[in-house]
Amino acid sequence: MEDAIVHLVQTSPSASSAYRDCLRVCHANDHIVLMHDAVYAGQGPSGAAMNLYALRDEVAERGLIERMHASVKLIDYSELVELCAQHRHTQSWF
Amino acid sequence: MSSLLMICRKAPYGTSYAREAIDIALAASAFDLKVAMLFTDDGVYQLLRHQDTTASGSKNVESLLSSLPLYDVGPLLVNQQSLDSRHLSQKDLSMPVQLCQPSEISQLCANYDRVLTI
Amino acid sequence: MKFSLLILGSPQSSPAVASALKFAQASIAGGHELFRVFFFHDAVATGNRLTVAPQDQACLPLEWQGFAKQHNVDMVLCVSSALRRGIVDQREAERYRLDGSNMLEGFELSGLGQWVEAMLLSDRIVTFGG
Repeated sequence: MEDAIVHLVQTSPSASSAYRDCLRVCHANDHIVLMHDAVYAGQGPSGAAMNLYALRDEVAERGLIERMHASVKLIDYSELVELCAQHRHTQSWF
Repeated sequence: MSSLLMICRKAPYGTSYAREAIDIALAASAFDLKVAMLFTDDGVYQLLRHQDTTASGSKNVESLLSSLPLYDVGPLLVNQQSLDSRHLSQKDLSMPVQLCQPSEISQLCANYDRVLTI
Repeated sequence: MKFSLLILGSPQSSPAVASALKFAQASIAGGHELFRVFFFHDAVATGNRLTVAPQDQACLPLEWQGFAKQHNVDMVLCVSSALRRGIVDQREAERYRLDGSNMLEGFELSGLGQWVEAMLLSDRIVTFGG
């Protein structure tokens, strides 16, 4: 049975193709975590069905708390750790 | 035997990631892991034939990749969409590869014990 | 779960090293085990003893050193990445006849085999790249 993958996107959606490349290979039951400058991608919908998260402190330091799309769940590092613990593969995009 | 899928996303020469991914693949193979490599996004450029590094003095990535079968690293898989969007085809590549589609990559990852993306 | 972390980004110009530390701290606090942290590519600068951070900012090399000592975490700098970037321990300094060494205590210089071993013996591997 296919296991859902946790995708950690770590670079800006406008400065890097990482987020776009990730969306091309993601499955609907995968999890995407926006980290570092990738949190800028959370201002709009992903256009795809998978679970979308962003690291809260990194969203806040960029002044984006009020600008994040409703579909993005804000999480902390403890929740990130548990997400990675629950899934066999974590794939980083940068 | 444990297995590793190395996913290579970076073009060669502009950064050292291509060479470093090959180093990890070879180290893993030396530890008796079954190692396959997936080239996707800009990583497909690593496989372009006729890389001439005589003037630049860089370590030739085409040569490094050609040694992989000697160390039992393979198969070499290529995301066809990445080739198409860069106007490349298999005849432009220096090594025999297996093509895969973006929709197959998740299942591919599930077939390996470890997946590493550089 | 037993985690191992692979870090590639520079401590000075990338969030990777600071982010990995937060992940490492959260994993221990969450009751998980941290098997090994492998510093690769530009991340090897984390092991530079001669790093001076601005007064109002944390010094990541020292933060990692303190964390690793407190929780007995194995921290490895990839030797080939480190040599290229001028991070050397006493042994490598002597081998290459360099006039000094600068590796911070608590780190170990070793080869990619240590990362391969970490992949084999850990339950989860997480990469901090960009």
